[in-house]
Parts: sequence; C-alpha cells; structure tokens
Amino acid sequence: MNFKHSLCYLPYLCLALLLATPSWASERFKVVVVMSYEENNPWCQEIKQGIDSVLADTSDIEYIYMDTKVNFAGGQAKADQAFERIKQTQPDGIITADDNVQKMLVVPYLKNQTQTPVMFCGVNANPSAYGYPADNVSGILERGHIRESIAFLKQLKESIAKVCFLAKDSPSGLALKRQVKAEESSYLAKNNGFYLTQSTDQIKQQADTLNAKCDAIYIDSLEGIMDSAGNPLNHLQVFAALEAAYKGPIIGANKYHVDQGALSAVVKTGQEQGEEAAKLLLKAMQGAPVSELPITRNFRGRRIINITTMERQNINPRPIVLRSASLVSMQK
Amino acid sequence: MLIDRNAVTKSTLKGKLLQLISFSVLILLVLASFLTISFNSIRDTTQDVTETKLNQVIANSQTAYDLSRIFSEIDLLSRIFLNRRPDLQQQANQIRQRLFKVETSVNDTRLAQILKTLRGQFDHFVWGFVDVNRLATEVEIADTHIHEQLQQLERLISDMLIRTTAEQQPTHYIDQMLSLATSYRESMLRIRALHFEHKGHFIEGHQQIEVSGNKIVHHLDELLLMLQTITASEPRINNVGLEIERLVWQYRDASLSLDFALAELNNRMLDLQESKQLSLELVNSLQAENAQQTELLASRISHLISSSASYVIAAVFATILVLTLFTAHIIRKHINTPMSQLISGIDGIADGKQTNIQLQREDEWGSIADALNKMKDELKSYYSQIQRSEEKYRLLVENQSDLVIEMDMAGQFQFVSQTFCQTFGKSKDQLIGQHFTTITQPQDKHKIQMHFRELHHDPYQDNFEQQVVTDQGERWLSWHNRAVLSAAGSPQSIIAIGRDVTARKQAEDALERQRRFLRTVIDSVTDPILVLGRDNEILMSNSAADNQYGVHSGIGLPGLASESTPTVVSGDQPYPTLLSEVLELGAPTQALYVHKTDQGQRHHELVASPFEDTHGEIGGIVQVSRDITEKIRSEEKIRFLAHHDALTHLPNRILLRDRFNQAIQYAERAGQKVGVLFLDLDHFKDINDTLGHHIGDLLLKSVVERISASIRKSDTVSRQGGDEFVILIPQIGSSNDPEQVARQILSSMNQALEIEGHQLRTSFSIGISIYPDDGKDFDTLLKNADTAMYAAKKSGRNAYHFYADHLNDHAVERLQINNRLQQALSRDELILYYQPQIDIQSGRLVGLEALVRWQTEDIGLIPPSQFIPYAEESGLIVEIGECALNQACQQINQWHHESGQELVVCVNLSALQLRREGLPKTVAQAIFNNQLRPGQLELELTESMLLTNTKHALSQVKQLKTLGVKLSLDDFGTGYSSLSYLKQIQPNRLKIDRSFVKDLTQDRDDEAIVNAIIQMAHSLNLTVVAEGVETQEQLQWLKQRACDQVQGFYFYKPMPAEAISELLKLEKLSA
Repeated sequence: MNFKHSLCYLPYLCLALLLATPSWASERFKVVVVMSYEENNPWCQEIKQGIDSVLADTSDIEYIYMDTKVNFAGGQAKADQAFERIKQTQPDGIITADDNVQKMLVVPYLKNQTQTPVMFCGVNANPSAYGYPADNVSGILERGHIRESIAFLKQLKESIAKVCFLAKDSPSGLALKRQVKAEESSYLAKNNGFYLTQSTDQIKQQADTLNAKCDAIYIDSLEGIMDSAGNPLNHLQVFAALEAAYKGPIIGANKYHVDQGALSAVVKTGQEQGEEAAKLLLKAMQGAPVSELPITRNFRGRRIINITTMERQNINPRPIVLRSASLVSMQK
Repeated sequence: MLIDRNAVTKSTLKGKLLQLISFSVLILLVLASFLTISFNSIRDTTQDVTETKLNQVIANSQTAYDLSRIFSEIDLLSRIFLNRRPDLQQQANQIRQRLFKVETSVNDTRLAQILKTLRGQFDHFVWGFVDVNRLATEVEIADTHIHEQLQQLERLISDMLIRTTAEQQPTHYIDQMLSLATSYRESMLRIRALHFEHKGHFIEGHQQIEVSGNKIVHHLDELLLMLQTITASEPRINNVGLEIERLVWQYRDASLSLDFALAELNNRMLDLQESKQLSLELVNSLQAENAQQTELLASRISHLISSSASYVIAAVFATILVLTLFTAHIIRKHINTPMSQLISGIDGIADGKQTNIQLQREDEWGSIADALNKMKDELKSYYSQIQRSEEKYRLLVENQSDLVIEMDMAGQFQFVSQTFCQTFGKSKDQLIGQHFTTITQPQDKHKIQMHFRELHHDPYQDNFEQQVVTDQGERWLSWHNRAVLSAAGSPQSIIAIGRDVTARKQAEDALERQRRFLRTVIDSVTDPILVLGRDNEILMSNSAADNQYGVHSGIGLPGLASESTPTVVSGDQPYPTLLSEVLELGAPTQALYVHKTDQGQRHHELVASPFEDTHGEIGGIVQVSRDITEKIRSEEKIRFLAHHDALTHLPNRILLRDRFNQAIQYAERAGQKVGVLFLDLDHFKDINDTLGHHIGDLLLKSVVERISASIRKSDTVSRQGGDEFVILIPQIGSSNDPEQVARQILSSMNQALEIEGHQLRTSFSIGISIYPDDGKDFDTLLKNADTAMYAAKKSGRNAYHFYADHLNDHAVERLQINNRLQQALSRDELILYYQPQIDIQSGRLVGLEALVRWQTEDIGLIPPSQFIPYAEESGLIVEIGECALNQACQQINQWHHESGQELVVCVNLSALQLRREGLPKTVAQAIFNNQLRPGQLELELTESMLLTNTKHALSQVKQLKTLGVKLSLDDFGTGYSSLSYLKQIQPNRLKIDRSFVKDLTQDRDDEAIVNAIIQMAHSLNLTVVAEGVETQEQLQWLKQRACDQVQGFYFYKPMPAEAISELLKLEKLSA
C-alpha cells in the first residue's frame, strides 16, 4: 500500500476518533453453566444470581439443569446432553454447580480433556474425590457454617446444650457428616447424633428420639428425600414433615431453610458460590492460567432469623442479637 | 640599779595582788560548794522526773501521735491505691517502717503485741492491693487490646464495603458484618463502664464487695457467644474475630480474679481497722495514767527550786562586800601614791631639769625611777652628736649640682637645695611649704601624683622624668625619689634628687622620628620583608610579614626554618628563609616555594640580600617574599584557554590539530588509519532561540558528557565552536571503529536531557572522514568530515555519513547558493508573484497567494524549490519570510489605493519563523506600517510546523489570531492531519494539497480523501481551498462536492504584482 492509499483512510480515522467509541469493548464471552439440580431449586437460583451479577455484563450465559434432586437417575443422561451442548457451542468457559455435576460431567468429559476452563461451585465433597484441582478445573468448595449457626442459636436461646444433625443420605449428606465429625469439638453444644434419612417416614419414626435427645436440630441437604408414596420432596415439603415430628428449634444451613421455617442460621449463600466461581472463570477467560487460580471455599456467613418461628418458639432474644442479623418472616 | 626581786616579793604590788586573788578564790570556793549542794538536790529531783515519769508521758504521746499519723496514711492509702500511682508501693514501705519503729519503741508489752499484729495485717493489705492493681491492669490492657482489634475489624469491614459498593455488588452481608462489629463494640463499652463502676464502688465503700459471677462476666459471656459467629467470614476478618475472642477470654479471667482479690482485700482492711482501734484505745489509757504522775512531780520540783534560791542570794552578797574592802586598801597604798611621785619626776626631765627622780621604795616603782634617771643622761649625749651630723649634710646638699628637695608625704616642700632655687628662680622662703605640683605642668600633675603614691609602699623609691618650665626655658628633669621611713617603718617624708636631662631627651626624640619614618616606609611595602640576624632572629619585619608569618621583630622564631629552603611547605611547617644560602654565598639569592594551606596552595618567590654589621661582617639578611600565585594561575589559565574551549573545557582546534599531527605520525609508522568525526547538534539553534543561551550552554555541557562517555580515553573530543564538535580517533581498530563510535553517540542521545526542568531531546548529525583515504592533512579531513556531516543532516538528521567525493560538490553548491542568497536579500532580488484564488460558485477573485521568486541577473527567475531548502538549512528563511511579508503588505496597500478593493493575500510562513520569538510583533509591525486591516492578511501554516516545540508554536499562533489576521492550514492531508491542531489553531481556511487534486476524477482514493476533507471542513465551518486545479474536470468535480474556492493554472499562474493590478481592473469593470 503506497502512502497515498494509506491516506485515503485518514478522514474515516478522524471521524472515528471524533466519535471515540471503544470498539474492543464489544467482545463477549460464551459461558455455559451446568447446575446439578432443577431450575426452581432455591439454591440453584441463588447460585445463578451470583453468576449473573459477575458475568452478565461481559458474557452470554447458557444455563443447563440436571435436575438430580428430583431425578437422580436421569442425571447422567442430562450430563451427556450437557456435554453435547458444550461441544456444540464451544464456550469460552464452564461453571458446574454442586457435587453431582462433577461426578457425572466434569470428571468423565471435561477434566484434563479440554483447554476450556471449568470452575465448580457448591461442592461439599473433598476436592481430591474428583481429582481436583486439574489442569483446567478449579473452583469454590461449599462448607456449612455449622459451628457459627449453633453459636448463633445459643445467642437466641442460651439453654441449648445438645444439638442433633439431619441430612439426606446422599454424597452431600455424607460430606456434611464428615465435616461435623471433624469440627464438633469446637461446637458450643454437644453433638448428640447425626441422622441420615431417605424419607419422611424415617423422620416420623425417629421423632420421639429426636425430641428426647435434641435441644435443637441442624438440617441441610434434605431436598429429594421421598414421601410415603416414594415421591421426591422439595425442601418446603420436607421441612413441613420435620416440623410436624420435632417440636424444638430447627436451624438450617441455607437462606431458604430459614425463609421456609428454620429458626435461624449463619447461612452459606449460593450467591457467594456463584460469584466466586464466576470471578475465577472470568480471570481464566481473560488469560489467567487455571493453575494459578487455587481452589477456595465460601467464607461469608450471614446471620438470619425467622421471626415467625422465633415467636412460635416463644424466644425473646436481646435486641443486640437481632440488630446484627437479617430478619425474615415466614414465606407465604 | 638591780633589785632583789625575791626579797621584795611579799611587800611588792605583785604580792598584794596575789593575796587579793587567794582570798577571792577561797570565798568563791565556799560559795561554789554551797551552790553545788543545792543544785545537786534539784538535779536529782529533776532527773527523777525527766528520766522516768515525764519520759513515759512524752513517749506515750509520741506513740499516740505516730500511730494516728500512720493510721491516717493507711486510710489514705486504702482510698487511693486503685489509682495505681507508681509511688504507692514506696509509700506503703514507709508506713510499714514507721509502724515497726513505733512497735519497737513502746514499753508496754500489750501495745507492742497489738502493733506487731497490726503490722502483719498491714503487710497482707499491701500484698492484697498490689494483687488488685496487677489484675486491674491486666483487665484494662485486655480492654485496650480488644478495642484495638475492634477498630481493625471495623476497618476491614469498611474496606470491604467500599470495594463492594464500587463494584456495584450487593452489600447486605457487609452491612450485617458492620452491625455485628458495632454490637461487639457496644458490648465492650458496656463492659468497660461496668468495670469502672465496679472499681468506683470499691473505692467508695469496700465493705460492700462480694465475690460473685458479676455483671461484667455475664456480659463477657454474652460477647463471647456473639463472637462465635464471626468466624463465618473471610480469613482476615475471621483472624481478627479469633483474636478478639482470645482477648475477651483473657479479660474474663482477669476480671474474675480481680473480683476475688478485691473481696480478699476488703477482709484484710476490716482486720486492719479492728487492730487500729485496739491499739489506739490502749495508748489512750496509758496516756491518762502518765498524766496523773506528772502532776505530782511538777509540784515537788517547784518547792525545791524556791528554797535553794534564797541561800544562794545571801552568800553572794557577803562575798562581794569582803572583796570590795580589801581591794580599796591595796589600790590606795601601792598604786596611787608612788605613781603621782613618778609623774612629777618625769615632768622635771621634760622641762630640762637635770635633777634625778627621788622615790624611796623597794618595789617596782623604785626600779622605774632608777631607769628614768639613766635614760635622761644618755639622751643628752645623743643630741650633741645629731647637731654635728646635720651641719655636715646641709653643706653637702647645698653644694650639689643636682636638685635636692625634701617633701612631706603630701608633696609639700620642707627643704629645697640652692640649685633647685636657682633653677626655678625662686627663694627658699618662696618655695618652702609649696606643693611639688607648683613646678609641674598641668598635664603631668596626675602622673606625678601616681609616682608619689608609689613611695608609700615597698620599695619606697621611684623614678620619673618630667618637663618643667624654668628660668632657662623648658627643661627635662629626671627625678630619683625615696621615702624616709620612721622607726616604725612607715614613710615620713620624701627626699627627691633631680637632674637636668634635656640634652639626652632631645637626642632620643630625633632618633624616634627617624625610626617612625623608616617603619612607615617598610610597612607600606605589600610584600613581607624580614630582617634576620645571623642566628635567625627577626631584627625587623614589616606589617605584611607580621600578618603572613604571625611574628614580630625581636620575638622568637618558631615559624621560620633556618636550614635550606624547601620547595614545598605545608600548613604546620616553618616558613623557609634564605639565611643559610646567603651566609654561605655572601651574596643576594632567590628561591621559589609552594605553601600548602587548608585554603589551597600558594606560590611564593623569596629574594634575600646580606647586610653588614658595625664590624663590617654579614650581620644577617634582608628577605622579601612575594606571593606569585595569581600570576602563575593567570599564566596557567592563559595557557589552558589557548588550547581549550572556555565553555566545555574541551581541546580547541589548535590542540586538536596538534594531536592530529601526532596521531598521523604514529599512524604512518604503524600503518594505521585515523578517524575524524564532525558532529553537529541538531536543532541547537532552535533551543538557543527559544530557551536562551544559558540553557543552550548547559545543553552543550551535558552533550559533552554523553560524547565523552561514548569514546575511549585516547580519543580526543574538540569543540569547534557553536554546536559543532570534532572527535579524533587516533588508531582505528575493531573496538573503536568510527562508525561504531558514531552509533554509540547517536544512541547515547536517545534519552532526553534534563536542563533546569526542561526535558530536551536532541540528536547529532555526524560526518566521518578517514586518514589517509579522505585526505592527508588536518584541514582537508576536517572539511570533508564537515561535508559528510551536512549529508547526514540532509538525510534527516540523527544520522552519520561517511565522506564521499560527490559530497564535496554538493557542499560547494550549498555554499555558493547561501552566499548568493545573502546577496539577493541585500540586492532586493527576491520578489513576490501572486496566484489568484477564485470563488468556485461565482468565479470571482477572492484572494491571492504570495509566492516568492528569485530574480537573478545571470540565470533569470529561480523557482523556490531550488533555493528555499538551502535557505531553511542556513536559517536565511527567516529573513526571506520577513521580506515576503513586508512586500506583500506594501502590495496590498497599493492595490487598495489603486482599485479600492480589500483583497486577502496569503503569505506563507516557515517553520523557523514560527519557532523564533517575535513573529507576532513582526506581523503587527508590517500591518501597522502599511495601514492595513488585519483581516486583509492571511498567514499560511503547515501542520508540520507545529510538531516541534508545539507549545511555543501554538502560543505564537494564538497571538497572531489575537492580532486579527486570518490563518489557513496549507497542504492539509499530507501530514499528520491532527484534528486536535485544527481545534487549537482554528484556521479560517483549509487548503487541499495539490497532490490530491492532481488525480481527481482518475484516482478513487484521492476523490475519497478530498471529499472527506471538504465534508469535515464544512462540518467545522471552515472554508476549503483546493490547490493545483488545472482542468475543467477537476473544477467540475470540486464544484459538485461544494468546494468553496480553487487556485491553479486552470485559472491563473502566479503573476507579478503588475499583472495582478491589471487583473483587478478587469475584475472591477466586470463587477
């Protein structure tokens, strides 16, 4: 191109400079998010909020749900479909939420088999169980704030001395049990029994024991247990069954547990899980090697009290306790 | 007469007095015995009282007082111990010591036992309060640490809040954390308040203290519970939370211990109080018993004293009576009677009677009378001898040629000799009784009195000289005075002997005047002069020598060396002299030496000559020293400046030539080559013009540093003047290839130079010539390197160029053109042609562009392209530009008068004109001189003019705009086409370069560019002028694109002013 030819672009360049539009800012990433559970699961919704808050401005996000809470058996097929979709869309990055998707999708199809960065969140199990970290996999582990939740409960009701734990007999429930075992010595109330359950029938059977042994019950990962007819239940349904069986205070692990009737909790949030996973993925997509993005865990515990339940339990805490907590009333 | 003293002892006055004394002693012994008995009785009684009963009373009172004081101090201590003052422990120790002292001093065993118990209780109390204070301190330290950690926690949370808000993320969690931290702080503040309330209660009434899990512990437990939830946070906050929890536990432990300690202390204080009460009661009862016994004893002592006093008074009166009678008898018989007889005899001797004193006694009075009779006989004999001696001395004094006087100690004449009377022309009667000051001149009176005072003490003699007025006129007298002492050794009178010394004084005055004259002469010499004796002693020195050597005539010689002259002396070494050399040679000599001092070294020249003494031998030398430092420095400076550049201190052309000659001699022998690099600093002139010569000079110095860093030590850098340097490379080798050196120098100039806050970027144009390839002598090689440098400059500067033969031709041409241009300016050979500018719609003439032409006699008209580049290179472009400006303005004025039309004439400016200061002033002057309206003149700029020193150029352009002249931007599109310049210059017209117009209708790129420029100019409300329009097609195309004005051969070529005048007439006719 001779000098004169190059000059022919000059006016356009001038006009472009006048308009001063940063054209490079228009490049957007493609991101696929694969959730272990169903779309209307409150935990998934929290994670989605967290991911969107970080990536919505820069990325086009496609969400895929594996529904394993309500249909665990169909999970692998969903995982296969998700992998096909990933191959089709060739995303710049992938986020996988909770344990099931790790086992069914990431480990068999994605871990160390592609350059595409994969960030997990909501994983309760030990990361080594999935061979993490891997060349292209990192993310954020999910750990309940059990000790803090018990302490918070004691602030509300000082007489609490024995606490029991209830979770679904599932990988998440087992992971929770391991966590409790590891850290129970630091709890302000005695661990008076960890119960893994498959159905509401089992809960009913254990009602007398629970009422006798437990000043309070800590619950987590109960969604998906079966009713008498063998139908998987959502958390609201499970909680109703539990509340019918057990009269003492029930404390939860997630915000929606408290929203749906638990007395209080220092909750882990799906938003934090989603945000952190999304931030890690964004760094990876912008060029940071995954090996330089270490696995992290959730830290932020929010104190939440369900005042409807509090009144029902006839608990009158000091105002200072209420002030440093978020108060919710019972979901309609 | 001898008296037998033993024989008369009993009958003498002494014997009588001994009897009186013996009797008195006896009486006094009797009286003393009586008094002793009485006083012993009183003493025994009193002793009994004081040693037993009274002592007990006093001791009990003291004990009561001490205990009261100690108890009040204990009470005070118990009230203030919580203040934790540093001196409380010391105070407690003092109380304990005093308590122990009281305990050991009391006699009552019950009281001693109680005090011992009390002391033990006090010790427990002190240990208790030490413990309490320690625990209170622990509590408060924990409190402080907790508040610090809370502050840290709040800070971390605040940081998170700010960060999260800035990222536009939800802050619910952080808000909650902040509330939690606030709750912690509230709890701690409440706990702190309770702690101080607790302490306050104890101080007010410690008996209320009780051990319990108090409110503080309860609040601490609540806080600990609240802290359990903060661990659900980010690690940094979690860590702070854990630290706070640890500190709260620490606080809780200390607080509980403090409670226990306070309760224990309270118990100890109650025990102490009880013992205090017991001891005070016991002391009070002891005091009551003692008071009763004391009253009885007081009554007994009073009776004893009154009876003893009566006996003593009676005995004293009896003694006085007996002694008085006995003493009166002795005085009358043995003192009064013989004394009156002796006085009568002495009066007879005083009256000259020769009768002896008659006193028939054998005691001391008789001996005195014999001695007086003997003395009377001896006095008579001495008086006869004195009369003879006085006569002899009177005759001696009267016949003396010296003046002899005797005065009393006040200075009044008692005796004057005949010579004295003759000298002052007065008789003895006139002088006796007069004061010495009557012969003294008024101004000497004080001095004379001072001399007389000297005679009042040892050695009682003094000399002085005075000038007096005598019958023979003014005379000088020299006095020797001596005081005459009495037998007791005190001065009684003054004997003074005076001598006329007028002749000697006159001789001395004459000698002093001569000495002063010589001193003035020698001191007026600025060089140090010393007259030294053979032994190196200073016989004389002038002021300059005194100042320099710090010695004076006649004073010792510590600062002068007597041995051979050293060539260098340092500060603490002796100054050199030429004494030994002159004594050895017997003739004058000279030497140079350097004197090193803290202020630097000074050069001196010594010249010394011998002088003869009274025996015709060499008595010493006269030595003159001269400081020739400045002379030597001047010579050195002259030598340096003869071979170096004054600004950079680099070798100049003379030294360079010398080194070049040495280099080629060596190169010839070694078969090597020599490189000559001619360096010219690019744009130095611009820097000088815009920032001044001071900055220019500093720039040159900095540049020299960079050059020097790029060459070997054996290479020579020389400044040729201005911004030109020459580097001589004596032995070209692989490491110092001239091309490599040139590259290094160019590279070294990549970094900007900072000169007094200006970041200056500059470069070199370097020409290289090689011996023997490009010349065999210095001048040829230098000329060829210069020529190569011009080639480098022409290739775009910041470059180097080797000399080649053809360059020389170009250099010759350049020189010729420059010379001819100079002449052209003075001969007015530069003229203006004008090319009309046409409004594209109306076809009317709207303006003219002035174009310079060189009209030579021999060649004819030379186009600007053949001389403007040379003019720019040499700087003549500025003068040419000013010439064009003035010519154009004159022509506008002329046309205005001829045609009445107000034409706008464009005059091109050069980049150098714009860089130089004063362009707006030149333009304003041209407009004013030709009475133009500023809008009739348009100045054409190109963008490239603004690229160097943009700030200065823009400033000049703005000033031109302020004048009201129009501006047009020429050649738009060929340069950088910066829109920011368009905005800042705000030209009236934009000129499309002819290179774009040339291929219009054939080249789509050119069409696109011209189209874009027209649109952009119109969007900025600028008029567009297309240059170089030569065809109908071009004109039509531009008309269709709404170009405003055109200029080119299609309408008119550039024409002389006269042709334009004709054209204007036609225009006027067709209007």
